Amino acid sequence: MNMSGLSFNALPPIDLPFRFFLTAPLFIIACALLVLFSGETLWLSRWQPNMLALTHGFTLGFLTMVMMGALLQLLPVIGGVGIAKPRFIATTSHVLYCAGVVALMFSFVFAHQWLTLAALILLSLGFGLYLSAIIGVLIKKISQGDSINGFRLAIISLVILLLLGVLLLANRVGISVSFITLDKHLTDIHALMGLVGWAGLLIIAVSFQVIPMFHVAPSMPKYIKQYLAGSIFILLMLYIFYAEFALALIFISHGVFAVTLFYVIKQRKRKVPDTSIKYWQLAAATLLLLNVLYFLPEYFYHSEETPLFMPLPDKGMLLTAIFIYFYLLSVIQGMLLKILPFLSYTHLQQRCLIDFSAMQFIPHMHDFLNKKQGVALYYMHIISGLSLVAVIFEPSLYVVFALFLLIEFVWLLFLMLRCMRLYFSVSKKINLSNNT
Amino acid sequence: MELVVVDVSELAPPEPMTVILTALADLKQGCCLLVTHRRQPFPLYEKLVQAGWAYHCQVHDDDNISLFIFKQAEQLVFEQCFDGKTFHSA
Repeated sequence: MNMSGLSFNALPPIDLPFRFFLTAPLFIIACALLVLFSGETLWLSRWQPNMLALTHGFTLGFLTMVMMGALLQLLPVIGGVGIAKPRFIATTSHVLYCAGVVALMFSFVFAHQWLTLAALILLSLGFGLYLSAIIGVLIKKISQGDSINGFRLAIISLVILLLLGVLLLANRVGISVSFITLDKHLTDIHALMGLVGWAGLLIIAVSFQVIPMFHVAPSMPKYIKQYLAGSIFILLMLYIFYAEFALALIFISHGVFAVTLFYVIKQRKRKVPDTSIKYWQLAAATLLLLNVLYFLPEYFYHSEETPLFMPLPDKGMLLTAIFIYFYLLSVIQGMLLKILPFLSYTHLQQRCLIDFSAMQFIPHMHDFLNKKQGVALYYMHIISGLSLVAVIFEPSLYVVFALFLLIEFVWLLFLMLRCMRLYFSVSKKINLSNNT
Repeated sequence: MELVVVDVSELAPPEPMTVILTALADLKQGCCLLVTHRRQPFPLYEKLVQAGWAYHCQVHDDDNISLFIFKQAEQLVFEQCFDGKTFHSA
Protein backbone atom coordinates (compact mmCIF):
# COMPACT_ATOMS: atom_id res chain seq x y z
CA MET A 1 0.00 0.00 0.00
CA ASN A 2 1.34 3.41 -0.95
CA MET A 3 0.47 6.09 1.57
CA SER A 4 3.09 8.61 0.54
CA GLY A 5 2.34 11.75 -1.43
CA LEU A 6 3.89 12.65 -4.77
CA SER A 7 4.79 16.13 -5.90
CA PHE A 8 1.82 17.43 -7.80
CA ASN A 9 1.15 20.01 -10.42
CA ALA A 10 -2.35 21.18 -11.16
CA LEU A 11 -3.67 21.09 -14.71
CA PRO A 12 -1.93 23.67 -16.90
CA PRO A 13 -4.14 26.65 -17.83
CA ILE A 14 -6.75 25.54 -20.36
CA ASP A 15 -5.61 27.94 -23.08
CA LEU A 16 -2.30 26.04 -23.38
CA PRO A 17 -3.64 22.70 -24.68
CA PHE A 18 -6.43 24.49 -26.50
CA ARG A 19 -4.04 26.53 -28.67
CA PHE A 20 -2.61 23.23 -29.97
CA PHE A 21 -6.12 21.81 -30.52
CA LEU A 22 -7.42 24.93 -32.26
CA THR A 23 -4.54 25.20 -34.73
CA ALA A 24 -4.66 21.50 -35.69
CA PRO A 25 -7.79 21.63 -37.94
CA LEU A 26 -6.34 24.67 -39.72
CA PHE A 27 -3.59 22.44 -41.11
CA ILE A 28 -6.10 19.94 -42.48
CA ILE A 29 -8.09 22.79 -44.00
CA ALA A 30 -4.82 23.82 -45.69
CA CYS A 31 -4.36 20.19 -46.79
CA ALA A 32 -7.85 20.17 -48.31
CA LEU A 33 -6.96 23.27 -50.34
CA LEU A 34 -3.68 21.61 -51.36
CA VAL A 35 -5.61 18.55 -52.61
CA LEU A 36 -8.06 20.81 -54.44
CA PHE A 37 -5.35 22.76 -56.29
CA SER A 38 -2.88 19.90 -56.88
CA GLY A 39 -5.08 17.90 -59.23
CA GLU A 40 -4.86 14.22 -60.09
CA THR A 41 -1.05 14.02 -60.28
CA LEU A 42 -0.85 14.32 -56.49
CA TRP A 43 -2.03 10.72 -56.20
CA LEU A 44 0.51 9.18 -58.57
CA SER A 45 3.07 8.34 -55.87
CA ARG A 46 4.06 9.05 -52.28
CA TRP A 47 7.15 10.90 -53.58
CA GLN A 48 5.16 13.68 -55.26
CA PRO A 49 6.29 16.94 -53.57
CA ASN A 50 2.68 17.93 -52.88
CA MET A 51 1.97 14.46 -51.46
CA LEU A 52 4.90 14.93 -49.05
CA ALA A 53 3.40 18.29 -48.05
CA LEU A 54 0.00 16.60 -47.60
CA THR A 55 1.27 13.72 -45.45
CA HIS A 56 3.29 16.08 -43.24
CA GLY A 57 0.31 18.43 -42.97
CA PHE A 58 -1.77 15.52 -41.68
CA THR A 59 0.83 13.94 -39.43
CA LEU A 60 2.65 16.97 -38.05
CA GLY A 61 0.01 19.65 -38.54
CA PHE A 62 -2.90 17.70 -37.12
CA LEU A 63 -1.97 14.44 -35.39
CA THR A 64 1.22 15.56 -33.65
CA MET A 65 -0.23 18.99 -32.89
CA VAL A 66 -3.21 17.49 -31.02
CA MET A 67 -1.01 14.91 -29.29
CA MET A 68 1.40 17.62 -28.10
CA GLY A 69 -1.50 19.56 -26.58
CA ALA A 70 -3.05 16.44 -25.07
CA LEU A 71 0.22 15.34 -23.43
CA LEU A 72 0.35 18.65 -21.54
CA GLN A 73 -2.91 17.63 -19.87
CA LEU A 74 -2.41 13.89 -19.71
CA LEU A 75 0.84 13.94 -17.76
CA PRO A 76 -0.64 15.69 -14.69
CA VAL A 77 -3.88 13.65 -14.91
CA ILE A 78 -2.27 10.24 -15.43
CA GLY A 79 1.18 10.61 -13.90
CA GLY A 80 0.47 13.32 -11.34
CA VAL A 81 3.30 15.55 -12.59
CA GLY A 82 3.16 18.27 -15.22
CA ILE A 83 5.88 20.10 -17.12
CA ALA A 84 7.81 22.95 -15.51
CA LYS A 85 7.07 26.51 -16.74
CA PRO A 86 4.07 25.31 -18.79
CA ARG A 87 3.11 28.74 -20.18
CA PHE A 88 6.57 29.56 -21.52
CA ILE A 89 7.19 26.07 -22.91
CA ALA A 90 3.76 25.63 -24.51
CA THR A 91 3.56 29.14 -26.00
CA THR A 92 7.08 29.21 -27.42
CA SER A 93 7.16 25.65 -28.72
CA HIS A 94 3.69 26.08 -30.27
CA VAL A 95 4.69 29.19 -32.23
CA LEU A 96 7.99 27.66 -33.41
CA TYR A 97 6.32 24.37 -34.27
CA CYS A 98 3.45 25.93 -36.25
CA ALA A 99 5.89 28.08 -38.23
CA GLY A 100 8.09 25.01 -38.77
CA VAL A 101 5.27 22.86 -40.15
CA VAL A 102 4.12 25.69 -42.47
CA ALA A 103 7.72 26.13 -43.69
CA LEU A 104 8.07 22.37 -44.19
CA MET A 105 4.86 22.11 -46.24
CA PHE A 106 5.90 25.12 -48.37
CA SER A 107 9.40 23.67 -48.77
CA PHE A 108 7.97 20.51 -50.30
CA VAL A 109 5.65 22.44 -52.63
CA PHE A 110 8.06 25.17 -53.77
CA ALA A 111 11.41 23.37 -53.24
CA HIS A 112 13.24 26.52 -52.09
CA GLN A 113 16.37 25.84 -50.06
CA TRP A 114 15.73 28.67 -47.62
CA LEU A 115 12.29 27.22 -46.82
CA THR A 116 13.84 23.83 -46.10
CA LEU A 117 16.45 25.48 -43.91
CA ALA A 118 13.75 27.48 -42.09
CA ALA A 119 11.73 24.30 -41.52
CA LEU A 120 14.82 22.52 -40.24
CA ILE A 121 15.63 25.27 -37.73
CA LEU A 122 12.07 26.03 -36.59
CA LEU A 123 11.03 22.39 -36.15
CA SER A 124 14.28 21.53 -34.36
CA LEU A 125 13.80 24.44 -31.94
CA GLY A 126 10.06 23.86 -31.44
CA PHE A 127 10.38 20.11 -30.92
CA GLY A 128 13.60 20.53 -28.92
CA LEU A 129 11.98 22.86 -26.42
CA TYR A 130 8.80 20.81 -26.10
CA LEU A 131 10.57 17.47 -25.87
CA SER A 132 13.09 18.65 -23.29
CA ALA A 133 10.18 19.65 -21.02
CA ILE A 134 8.28 16.37 -21.57
CA ILE A 135 11.40 14.22 -21.18
CA GLY A 136 12.14 16.14 -17.96
CA VAL A 137 8.86 14.73 -16.57
CA LEU A 138 9.11 11.24 -18.08
CA ILE A 139 12.53 10.48 -16.62
CA LYS A 140 11.06 10.92 -13.13
CA LYS A 141 9.55 7.97 -11.30
CA ILE A 142 5.85 8.69 -11.59
CA SER A 143 2.70 6.66 -11.12
CA GLN A 144 0.61 4.64 -13.63
CA GLY A 145 3.67 2.74 -14.87
CA ASP A 146 2.25 0.97 -17.93
CA SER A 147 0.85 4.10 -19.58
CA ILE A 148 3.88 6.18 -18.67
CA ASN A 149 6.19 3.49 -20.07
CA GLY A 150 4.16 3.61 -23.29
CA PHE A 151 4.59 7.41 -23.33
CA ARG A 152 8.34 6.94 -22.91
CA LEU A 153 8.55 4.55 -25.87
CA ALA A 154 6.39 6.89 -27.98
CA ILE A 155 8.71 9.79 -27.16
CA ILE A 156 11.81 7.69 -28.00
CA SER A 157 10.18 6.85 -31.37
CA LEU A 158 9.48 10.55 -31.91
CA VAL A 159 13.12 11.40 -31.21
CA ILE A 160 14.31 8.73 -33.72
CA LEU A 161 11.77 9.91 -36.29
CA LEU A 162 12.92 13.51 -35.84
CA LEU A 163 16.59 12.63 -36.15
CA LEU A 164 15.85 10.81 -39.41
CA GLY A 165 13.68 13.72 -40.55
CA VAL A 166 16.49 16.17 -39.81
CA LEU A 167 18.91 13.99 -41.82
CA LEU A 168 16.50 13.88 -44.77
CA LEU A 169 15.89 17.64 -44.66
CA ALA A 170 19.59 18.39 -44.22
CA ASN A 171 20.27 16.29 -47.30
CA ARG A 172 17.88 18.50 -49.27
CA VAL A 173 19.96 21.57 -48.40
CA GLY A 174 23.17 19.80 -49.35
CA ILE A 175 24.36 18.56 -45.94
CA SER A 176 24.92 14.81 -46.08
CA VAL A 177 26.18 12.26 -43.59
CA SER A 178 28.52 9.75 -45.20
CA PHE A 179 27.71 6.68 -43.06
CA ILE A 180 23.94 6.76 -43.66
CA THR A 181 22.35 5.95 -47.01
CA LEU A 182 19.27 8.07 -47.58
CA ASP A 183 17.22 5.50 -49.47
CA LYS A 184 13.61 4.34 -49.53
CA HIS A 185 14.21 2.04 -46.55
CA LEU A 186 15.31 5.00 -44.44
CA THR A 187 12.20 7.00 -45.32
CA ASP A 188 10.11 3.88 -44.58
CA ILE A 189 11.71 3.71 -41.11
CA HIS A 190 11.04 7.46 -40.70
CA ALA A 191 7.37 6.98 -41.65
CA LEU A 192 6.89 3.87 -39.52
CA MET A 193 8.52 5.50 -36.48
CA GLY A 194 6.03 8.33 -36.85
CA LEU A 195 2.85 6.40 -37.57
CA VAL A 196 3.36 3.26 -35.48
CA GLY A 197 5.97 4.43 -32.96
CA TRP A 198 5.08 7.98 -32.00
CA ALA A 199 1.35 8.12 -32.84
CA GLY A 200 0.49 4.42 -32.46
CA LEU A 201 2.29 3.77 -29.18
CA LEU A 202 0.94 6.96 -27.66
CA ILE A 203 -2.60 5.95 -28.59
CA ILE A 204 -2.11 2.48 -27.10
CA ALA A 205 -0.67 3.93 -23.87
CA VAL A 206 -3.44 6.51 -23.61
CA SER A 207 -6.12 3.85 -24.21
CA PHE A 208 -4.98 1.99 -21.05
CA GLN A 209 -6.12 5.01 -19.03
CA VAL A 210 -8.89 6.76 -20.90
CA ILE A 211 -11.10 3.82 -21.83
CA PRO A 212 -11.48 2.61 -18.22
CA MET A 213 -11.66 6.20 -16.97
CA PHE A 214 -14.11 7.83 -19.38
CA HIS A 215 -16.22 4.79 -20.15
CA VAL A 216 -16.21 2.96 -16.77
CA ALA A 217 -14.80 -0.10 -18.49
CA PRO A 218 -12.54 -2.73 -16.91
CA SER A 219 -8.79 -2.23 -17.15
CA MET A 220 -7.02 -3.71 -20.16
CA PRO A 221 -5.63 -7.21 -19.47
CA LYS A 222 -2.36 -6.99 -17.54
CA TYR A 223 -0.21 -8.73 -20.14
CA ILE A 224 -1.47 -6.31 -22.82
CA LYS A 225 -0.67 -3.31 -20.62
CA GLN A 226 2.75 -4.66 -19.72
CA TYR A 227 3.99 -6.06 -23.01
CA LEU A 228 2.11 -4.69 -26.04
CA ALA A 229 3.79 -1.28 -26.36
CA GLY A 230 7.22 -2.75 -25.62
CA SER A 231 6.74 -5.54 -28.18
CA ILE A 232 5.71 -3.11 -30.90
CA PHE A 233 8.70 -0.93 -30.11
CA ILE A 234 11.06 -3.93 -30.38
CA LEU A 235 9.43 -4.85 -33.71
CA LEU A 236 10.05 -1.30 -34.93
CA MET A 237 13.74 -1.75 -34.13
CA LEU A 238 13.67 -5.15 -35.83
CA TYR A 239 12.12 -3.50 -38.91
CA ILE A 240 15.44 -1.76 -39.56
CA PHE A 241 17.05 -5.15 -40.28
CA TYR A 242 14.20 -7.52 -41.21
CA ALA A 243 11.55 -5.25 -42.71
CA GLU A 244 8.99 -7.73 -44.04
CA PHE A 245 9.10 -10.08 -41.06
CA ALA A 246 8.78 -7.22 -38.54
CA LEU A 247 6.03 -5.47 -40.50
CA ALA A 248 3.88 -8.59 -40.54
CA LEU A 249 4.23 -8.90 -36.76
CA ILE A 250 3.46 -5.18 -36.32
CA PHE A 251 0.17 -5.71 -38.16
CA ILE A 252 -0.64 -8.77 -36.02
CA SER A 253 0.19 -6.88 -32.80
CA HIS A 254 -2.27 -4.18 -33.82
CA GLY A 255 -4.82 -6.90 -34.53
CA VAL A 256 -4.36 -8.11 -30.94
CA PHE A 257 -4.85 -4.54 -29.70
CA ALA A 258 -8.03 -4.26 -31.79
CA VAL A 259 -9.50 -7.45 -30.30
CA THR A 260 -8.62 -6.20 -26.79
CA LEU A 261 -10.31 -2.88 -27.53
CA PHE A 262 -13.51 -4.62 -28.65
CA TYR A 263 -13.43 -6.86 -25.56
CA VAL A 264 -12.90 -4.06 -23.04
CA ILE A 265 -15.47 -1.80 -24.70
CA LYS A 266 -18.02 -4.63 -24.60
CA GLN A 267 -17.37 -5.17 -20.88
CA ARG A 268 -18.04 -1.56 -19.87
CA LYS A 269 -20.56 -1.11 -17.09
CA ARG A 270 -22.64 1.75 -18.46
CA LYS A 271 -23.45 1.08 -22.08
CA VAL A 272 -24.70 4.58 -22.89
CA PRO A 273 -24.51 5.63 -26.56
CA ASP A 274 -21.26 7.51 -26.97
CA THR A 275 -19.60 8.84 -30.12
CA SER A 276 -16.11 8.42 -28.66
CA ILE A 277 -16.84 4.72 -28.26
CA LYS A 278 -17.95 4.60 -31.91
CA TYR A 279 -14.63 6.15 -32.89
CA TRP A 280 -12.71 3.54 -30.84
CA GLN A 281 -14.74 0.76 -32.46
CA LEU A 282 -14.13 2.22 -35.92
CA ALA A 283 -10.41 2.37 -35.13
CA ALA A 284 -10.37 -1.25 -33.90
CA ALA A 285 -12.31 -2.47 -36.96
CA THR A 286 -9.81 -0.60 -39.15
CA LEU A 287 -6.89 -2.44 -37.56
CA LEU A 288 -8.57 -5.78 -38.27
CA LEU A 289 -9.35 -4.74 -41.86
CA LEU A 290 -5.72 -3.66 -42.31
CA ASN A 291 -4.61 -7.13 -41.24
CA VAL A 292 -6.85 -8.65 -43.91
CA LEU A 293 -5.61 -6.23 -46.58
CA TYR A 294 -1.96 -6.71 -45.63
CA PHE A 295 -2.04 -10.50 -45.66
CA LEU A 296 -4.11 -10.83 -48.85
CA PRO A 297 -1.98 -12.40 -51.59
CA GLU A 298 -0.46 -9.88 -53.97
CA TYR A 299 -2.50 -11.15 -56.94
CA PHE A 300 -5.63 -9.71 -55.33
CA TYR A 301 -4.13 -6.29 -56.00
CA HIS A 302 -2.51 -6.88 -59.36
CA SER A 303 -4.39 -9.62 -61.21
CA GLU A 304 -6.42 -8.35 -64.13
CA GLU A 305 -9.17 -10.80 -63.29
CA THR A 306 -9.16 -9.74 -59.70
CA PRO A 307 -12.36 -10.62 -57.85
CA LEU A 308 -12.02 -7.92 -55.21
CA PHE A 309 -10.12 -4.87 -56.31
CA MET A 310 -9.42 -2.66 -59.25
CA PRO A 311 -5.74 -2.57 -60.19
CA LEU A 312 -3.95 -0.55 -57.51
CA PRO A 313 -0.78 1.42 -58.21
CA ASP A 314 0.50 1.34 -54.65
CA LYS A 315 -0.67 -1.06 -51.92
CA GLY A 316 1.51 0.78 -49.38
CA MET A 317 -0.28 4.05 -50.09
CA LEU A 318 -3.70 2.43 -49.60
CA LEU A 319 -2.75 0.80 -46.29
CA THR A 320 -1.03 3.94 -45.00
CA ALA A 321 -3.99 6.14 -45.94
CA ILE A 322 -6.43 3.79 -44.17
CA PHE A 323 -4.16 3.57 -41.10
CA ILE A 324 -3.84 7.36 -40.84
CA TYR A 325 -7.43 8.26 -41.66
CA PHE A 326 -9.50 5.48 -40.15
CA TYR A 327 -7.24 4.53 -37.23
CA LEU A 328 -5.08 7.45 -36.03
CA LEU A 329 -7.42 10.25 -37.03
CA SER A 330 -10.48 8.38 -35.71
CA VAL A 331 -8.95 7.89 -32.26
CA ILE A 332 -7.73 11.50 -32.11
CA GLN A 333 -11.15 12.87 -33.12
CA GLY A 334 -12.91 10.57 -30.66
CA MET A 335 -10.59 11.75 -27.92
CA LEU A 336 -11.14 15.39 -28.85
CA LEU A 337 -14.91 14.91 -28.58
CA LYS A 338 -14.33 13.59 -25.06
CA ILE A 339 -11.65 15.90 -23.75
CA LEU A 340 -12.83 19.25 -25.14
CA PRO A 341 -16.00 19.35 -23.03
CA PHE A 342 -14.38 17.47 -20.15
CA LEU A 343 -11.45 19.86 -19.84
CA SER A 344 -13.69 22.91 -20.11
CA TYR A 345 -16.02 21.52 -17.46
CA THR A 346 -13.24 20.35 -15.12
CA HIS A 347 -11.33 23.62 -15.22
CA LEU A 348 -14.50 25.52 -14.31
CA GLN A 349 -15.52 22.97 -11.70
CA GLN A 350 -12.20 23.18 -9.88
CA ARG A 351 -12.74 26.89 -9.35
CA CYS A 352 -15.83 26.03 -7.33
CA LEU A 353 -13.67 24.59 -4.53
CA ILE A 354 -13.05 28.17 -3.41
CA ASP A 355 -16.69 29.18 -3.77
CA PHE A 356 -19.23 26.34 -3.96
CA SER A 357 -22.01 28.73 -5.01
CA ALA A 358 -20.24 29.21 -8.36
CA MET A 359 -21.44 25.74 -9.37
CA GLN A 360 -24.73 27.33 -10.40
CA PHE A 361 -23.01 28.98 -13.38
CA ILE A 362 -21.55 25.79 -14.83
CA PRO A 363 -23.67 24.39 -17.65
CA HIS A 364 -24.17 20.69 -18.28
CA MET A 365 -21.07 19.11 -19.82
CA HIS A 366 -22.98 18.26 -23.01
CA ASP A 367 -23.64 21.97 -23.56
CA PHE A 368 -19.95 22.40 -24.37
CA LEU A 369 -20.25 19.91 -27.21
CA ASN A 370 -23.59 18.26 -27.68
CA LYS A 371 -24.04 14.66 -28.74
CA LYS A 372 -25.69 15.37 -32.09
CA GLN A 373 -22.80 17.58 -33.17
CA GLY A 374 -20.38 14.79 -32.26
CA VAL A 375 -22.39 12.21 -34.21
CA ALA A 376 -22.44 14.55 -37.24
CA LEU A 377 -18.64 14.79 -37.08
CA TYR A 378 -18.37 11.00 -36.91
CA TYR A 379 -20.40 10.49 -40.08
CA MET A 380 -18.53 13.31 -41.85
CA HIS A 381 -15.32 11.51 -40.92
CA ILE A 382 -16.51 8.21 -42.39
CA ILE A 383 -17.67 9.89 -45.60
CA SER A 384 -14.44 11.82 -46.11
CA GLY A 385 -12.43 8.68 -45.26
CA LEU A 386 -14.31 6.67 -47.89
CA SER A 387 -13.74 9.46 -50.41
CA LEU A 388 -10.00 9.24 -49.61
CA VAL A 389 -10.02 5.51 -50.41
CA ALA A 390 -11.98 6.28 -53.59
CA VAL A 391 -9.47 8.88 -54.72
CA ILE A 392 -6.58 6.40 -54.31
CA PHE A 393 -8.36 4.08 -56.77
CA GLU A 394 -9.62 6.88 -59.00
CA PRO A 395 -7.50 10.09 -58.68
CA SER A 396 -9.98 12.11 -60.75
CA LEU A 397 -12.25 12.12 -57.65
CA TYR A 398 -9.83 14.43 -55.82
CA VAL A 399 -12.33 17.32 -55.76
CA VAL A 400 -14.85 15.20 -53.87
CA PHE A 401 -12.26 14.23 -51.25
CA ALA A 402 -11.03 17.82 -50.88
CA LEU A 403 -14.56 19.11 -50.32
CA PHE A 404 -15.50 16.43 -47.77
CA LEU A 405 -12.22 17.04 -45.95
CA LEU A 406 -12.87 20.76 -45.91
CA ILE A 407 -16.40 20.35 -44.57
CA GLU A 408 -15.34 17.89 -41.83
CA PHE A 409 -12.52 20.00 -40.45
CA VAL A 410 -14.32 23.34 -40.69
CA TRP A 411 -17.04 21.64 -38.63
CA LEU A 412 -14.48 20.38 -36.09
CA LEU A 413 -12.98 23.87 -35.84
CA PHE A 414 -16.46 25.33 -35.33
CA LEU A 415 -17.17 22.83 -32.51
CA MET A 416 -13.88 23.72 -30.82
CA LEU A 417 -14.49 27.46 -31.06
CA ARG A 418 -18.01 27.06 -29.72
CA CYS A 419 -16.74 25.02 -26.77
CA MET A 420 -14.04 27.60 -25.98
CA ARG A 421 -16.48 30.49 -26.25
CA LEU A 422 -18.83 28.87 -23.73
CA TYR A 423 -15.89 28.19 -21.40
CA PHE A 424 -14.78 31.82 -21.39
CA SER A 425 -18.31 33.19 -20.97
CA VAL A 426 -18.91 30.95 -17.91
CA SER A 427 -15.45 31.77 -16.56
CA LYS A 428 -16.30 35.46 -16.84
CA LYS A 429 -19.55 34.92 -14.89
CA ILE A 430 -17.63 33.15 -12.11
CA ASN A 431 -15.10 36.01 -12.00
CA LEU A 432 -17.89 38.56 -11.72
CA SER A 433 -19.60 36.59 -8.96
CA ASN A 434 -16.30 36.34 -7.04
CA ASN A 435 -15.78 40.09 -7.32
CA THR A 436 -19.22 41.05 -6.03
CA MET B 1 -14.06 12.81 13.65
CA GLU B 2 -17.05 11.53 11.69
CA LEU B 3 -16.58 9.97 8.25
CA VAL B 4 -18.86 10.84 5.33
CA VAL B 5 -18.42 8.19 2.63
CA VAL B 6 -18.97 8.57 -1.11
CA ASP B 7 -18.19 5.95 -3.75
CA VAL B 8 -17.45 7.43 -7.19
CA SER B 9 -15.64 4.40 -8.59
CA GLU B 10 -18.38 3.55 -11.07
CA LEU B 11 -19.03 7.07 -12.30
CA ALA B 12 -17.75 8.53 -15.57
CA PRO B 13 -15.99 11.92 -15.56
CA PRO B 14 -16.94 14.58 -14.62
CA GLU B 15 -19.46 13.03 -12.22
CA PRO B 16 -16.88 11.99 -9.58
CA MET B 17 -15.79 15.61 -9.22
CA THR B 18 -19.42 16.78 -9.04
CA VAL B 19 -20.17 14.27 -6.28
CA ILE B 20 -17.00 15.25 -4.36
CA LEU B 21 -17.75 18.97 -4.68
CA THR B 22 -21.34 18.54 -3.54
CA ALA B 23 -20.24 16.40 -0.59
CA LEU B 24 -17.58 18.96 0.40
CA ALA B 25 -20.12 21.79 0.18
CA ASP B 26 -22.35 19.88 2.63
CA LEU B 27 -19.54 18.63 4.88
CA LYS B 28 -20.08 19.69 8.50
CA GLN B 29 -17.33 20.93 10.76
CA GLY B 30 -15.37 18.10 12.32
CA CYS B 31 -16.28 15.68 9.52
CA CYS B 32 -14.00 14.02 7.00
CA LEU B 33 -14.98 12.97 3.46
CA LEU B 34 -13.87 9.49 2.44
CA VAL B 35 -13.92 9.02 -1.33
CA THR B 36 -13.64 5.58 -2.91
CA HIS B 37 -12.33 5.96 -6.45
CA ARG B 38 -10.58 3.93 -9.18
CA ARG B 39 -7.75 6.40 -9.68
CA GLN B 40 -6.08 9.28 -7.89
CA PRO B 41 -7.57 12.63 -8.96
CA PHE B 42 -4.12 14.21 -9.21
CA PRO B 43 -5.11 17.63 -10.59
CA LEU B 44 -7.60 18.05 -7.77
CA TYR B 45 -4.94 17.90 -5.06
CA GLU B 46 -3.30 21.27 -5.59
CA LYS B 47 -6.71 22.95 -5.88
CA LEU B 48 -7.85 21.32 -2.64
CA VAL B 49 -4.83 22.68 -0.79
CA GLN B 50 -5.34 26.16 -2.28
CA ALA B 51 -8.94 26.08 -1.03
CA GLY B 52 -7.97 25.22 2.55
CA TRP B 53 -8.54 21.46 2.41
CA ALA B 54 -6.11 18.72 3.34
CA TYR B 55 -6.09 15.23 1.84
CA HIS B 56 -4.63 11.81 2.45
CA CYS B 57 -4.65 9.04 -0.13
CA GLN B 58 -4.37 5.30 0.37
CA VAL B 59 -3.65 3.38 -2.84
CA HIS B 60 -4.85 -0.22 -2.46
CA ASP B 61 -4.56 -1.39 -6.03
CA ASP B 62 -4.19 -0.20 -9.64
CA ASP B 63 -7.86 0.73 -9.67
CA ASN B 64 -8.85 1.13 -6.04
CA ILE B 65 -7.97 4.10 -3.84
CA SER B 66 -9.36 5.73 -0.67
CA LEU B 67 -9.09 9.49 -0.50
CA PHE B 68 -9.69 11.40 2.75
CA ILE B 69 -10.51 15.11 2.48
CA PHE B 70 -10.81 17.36 5.54
CA LYS B 71 -10.20 20.96 6.62
CA GLN B 72 -6.51 21.84 7.00
CA ALA B 73 -7.27 23.13 10.50
CA GLU B 74 -8.43 19.62 11.44
CA GLN B 75 -5.21 17.85 10.42
CA LEU B 76 -4.37 16.95 14.02
CA VAL B 77 -7.84 15.52 14.71
CA PHE B 78 -7.61 13.46 11.49
CA GLU B 79 -4.24 12.02 12.51
CA GLN B 80 -5.51 11.13 15.98
CA CYS B 81 -8.60 9.39 14.57
CA PHE B 82 -7.37 7.65 11.45
CA ASP B 83 -3.59 7.59 11.27
CA GLY B 84 -2.35 4.10 10.50
CA LYS B 85 -5.81 2.70 9.74
CA THR B 86 -6.58 1.50 6.24
CA PHE B 87 -9.93 1.76 4.54
CA HIS B 88 -9.99 -0.96 1.95
CA SER B 89 -13.38 -0.85 0.33
CA ALA B 90 -12.95 -3.90 -1.91
